[in-house]
Amino acid sequence: MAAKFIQSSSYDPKKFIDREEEIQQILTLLKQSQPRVRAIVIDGDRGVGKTWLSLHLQRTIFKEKITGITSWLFSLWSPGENYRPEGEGTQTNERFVRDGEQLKLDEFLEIIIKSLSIELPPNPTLAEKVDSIRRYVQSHVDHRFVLILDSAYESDWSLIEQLETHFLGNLLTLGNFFVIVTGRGRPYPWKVPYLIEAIRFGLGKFTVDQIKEQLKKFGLSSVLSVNDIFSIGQGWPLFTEQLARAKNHAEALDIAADILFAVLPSYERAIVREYFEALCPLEGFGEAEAFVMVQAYKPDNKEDGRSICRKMNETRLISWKNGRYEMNQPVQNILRQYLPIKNKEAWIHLQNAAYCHFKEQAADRSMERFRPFFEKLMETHAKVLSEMGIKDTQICSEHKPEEALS
Amino acid sequence: MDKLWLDHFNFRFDPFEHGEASRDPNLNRYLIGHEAFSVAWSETPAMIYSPPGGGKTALRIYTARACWTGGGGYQPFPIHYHLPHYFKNGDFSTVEDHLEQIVHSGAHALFLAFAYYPLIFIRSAPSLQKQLAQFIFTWIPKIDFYLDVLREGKPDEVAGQLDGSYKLYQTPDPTLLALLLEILAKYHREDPLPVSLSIQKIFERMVHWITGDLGFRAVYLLLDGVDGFPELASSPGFAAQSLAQLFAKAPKWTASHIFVKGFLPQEIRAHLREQLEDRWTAFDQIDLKWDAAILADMLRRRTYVATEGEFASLSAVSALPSNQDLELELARVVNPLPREALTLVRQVLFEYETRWGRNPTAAKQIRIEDMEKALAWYRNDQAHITKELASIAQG
Repeated sequence: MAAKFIQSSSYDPKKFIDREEEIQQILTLLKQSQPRVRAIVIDGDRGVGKTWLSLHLQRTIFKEKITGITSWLFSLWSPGENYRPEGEGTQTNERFVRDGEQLKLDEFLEIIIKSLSIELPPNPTLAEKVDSIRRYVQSHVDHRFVLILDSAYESDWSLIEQLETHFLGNLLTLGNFFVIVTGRGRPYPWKVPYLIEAIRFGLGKFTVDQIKEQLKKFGLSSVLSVNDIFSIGQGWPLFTEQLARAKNHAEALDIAADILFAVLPSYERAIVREYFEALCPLEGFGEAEAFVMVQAYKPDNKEDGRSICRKMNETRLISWKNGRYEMNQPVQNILRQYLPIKNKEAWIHLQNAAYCHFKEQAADRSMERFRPFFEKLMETHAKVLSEMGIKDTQICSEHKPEEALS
Repeated sequence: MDKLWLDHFNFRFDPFEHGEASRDPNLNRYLIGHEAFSVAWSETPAMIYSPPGGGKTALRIYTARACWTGGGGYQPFPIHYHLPHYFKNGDFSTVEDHLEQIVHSGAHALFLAFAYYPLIFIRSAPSLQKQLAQFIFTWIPKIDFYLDVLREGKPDEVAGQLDGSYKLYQTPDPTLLALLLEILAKYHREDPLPVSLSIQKIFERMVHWITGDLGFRAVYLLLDGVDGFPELASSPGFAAQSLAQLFAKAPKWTASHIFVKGFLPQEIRAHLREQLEDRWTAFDQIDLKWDAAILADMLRRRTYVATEGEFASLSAVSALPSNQDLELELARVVNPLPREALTLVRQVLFEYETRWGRNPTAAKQIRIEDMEKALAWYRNDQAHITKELASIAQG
């Protein structure tokens, strides 16, 4: 399962596609006089282009389309050792956190203080540093100051907490200070009113035409058709470049799956990826399903359901939605295409395990009132098996549900 | 009980623990119902209604803490006016009665603002420092005692003794706090200035310090606790009469950036309207409304925050099938008030822990029987209490 893909391209303004609507919305806000809402939160799944948009705003838009603005870009989480969207070398007013690195509040403030050439008293306290920045911003009323916090939700929440408690809550009270936050997965529960009331939007997936344009701007010719790339990558721009280099459909799926899991630390990538593969046949799952499915896929598994869910949760590639854990859409889409091709037998086995699990739940007397719910799920998996030519579901072995939990 | 469930379910803290909002350090991460907050937060006089246990106090504390998120800046300055804290009984009605206690609370608010964020005081001009210090010494009896407590470096301890509503669960920088205490001690040694101003003038001067000299955007006067006096709770007409003169000032005060926010029982509304006549329209009005869906949201939000986003429902650690909604099941049973929903969740967790304690090899998972036992307890032991409370509130 070694990564077969080469490093994705770093940000290049010539390769940037569209996002006109989002950029216009941000510019409109920045051009208003003393807008009431001065925070924007952009969320989207992995690969949708949040970091490229942040870089585009910082390096291109704020330099070319608007005057009287100072901005900083802090990318608070690293997408792994295989990808550096910011490119080589450092640029002023930018800080990209590397793999395994932690950014401290002090360093964060130092970058801002240095860029504004603020003079501080000797041995300044944290409060004095923040106060100096506030006074600077407050005394430049005709100037705009924009802080971009990229990949905030994926980052270390203790830094976000310090930032909001000591810095954002203070600076956002000023009419000329703005913050743009991007993130995926679990939204951070803000306590700063200006962030609670932030303008929110999600980044949409690319259309087939946009992917075509992306290929053109990247100068790539592809063995796969644009429609194939769209179908596998589901319009997530991160995949386009890699998929265009694949020799065939099977390799493309392999590459797409590798890209998804490249964000995980290498020491646990393989094992956590197996959890995702085991659970991708389900629309959603709880701890009981996590144990049953992983056990079916990997009989030597020693983890209980809770620990499996916890490890998957740490990846930010699943989230709690609709009363259950759900995989992020691109992850589930790609694995559901990948697994039946790469390991048809395992796919059938997993569908059967799911069927048997829900059959057992339906027969449990303490769960009687949920029987129709379980029967519907049984039906779903029986249908998939039937479509794969399995007419009768295999014999379901007995197991104790208590095993699923610690 | 040891709250083993915290560890079993990987909660960082207990989000269901505090019946009283001021004691909950994490309150400001639980906000749901942004509409009511927008009314409390906007620069207009406002009246926010709910029955007892309906979240008035939580929203008041929430609003005050929101003012302090970030430690100052160009924020509104909150002054709590929790009536039972400042009056022994409901015998007050003149503007002067109210202003006297508002100034009293304003002194608490300023002293604690400086204690949590000493830079606000240290950065001000010496002449202003002197006036502020003398104001605090005059209006906070036993100030020596509170200064001694503050020397230990914990403003929360001081707030807990002066007025718990002001607790911010923050620690100031020790060097700045030491400097603050040194400056205050210097002024404390000086003779106090004679005060011969009317209470109205003292109030105006206090507001001017806050919005003019210290650079706050506005003063938010957060009035609460009307239903804390039996004589007011049982007679909403009398309660409205006791507050009418104060509320009548609110429209005019907006010019001085003073915004009165009343957190009030619903029964008082019609009476206040009658008393305030044409001034009534100056107030934004909103009801804190609760139904099963919103209560379930509130419970889920608390779980989400306490697990740092790992999951947003106790269903994740229950034997309920995925896609089933534990919070909604509980919320449908209780009287539709946050306090009630929190009580029931605490009981579910108690039942889980009791059952698990009898058999520590059992799965660490809330079972349907835990919920059923908690529901039976609520129906038998709790429902009549809440009905009594409701009937007291309704007179």
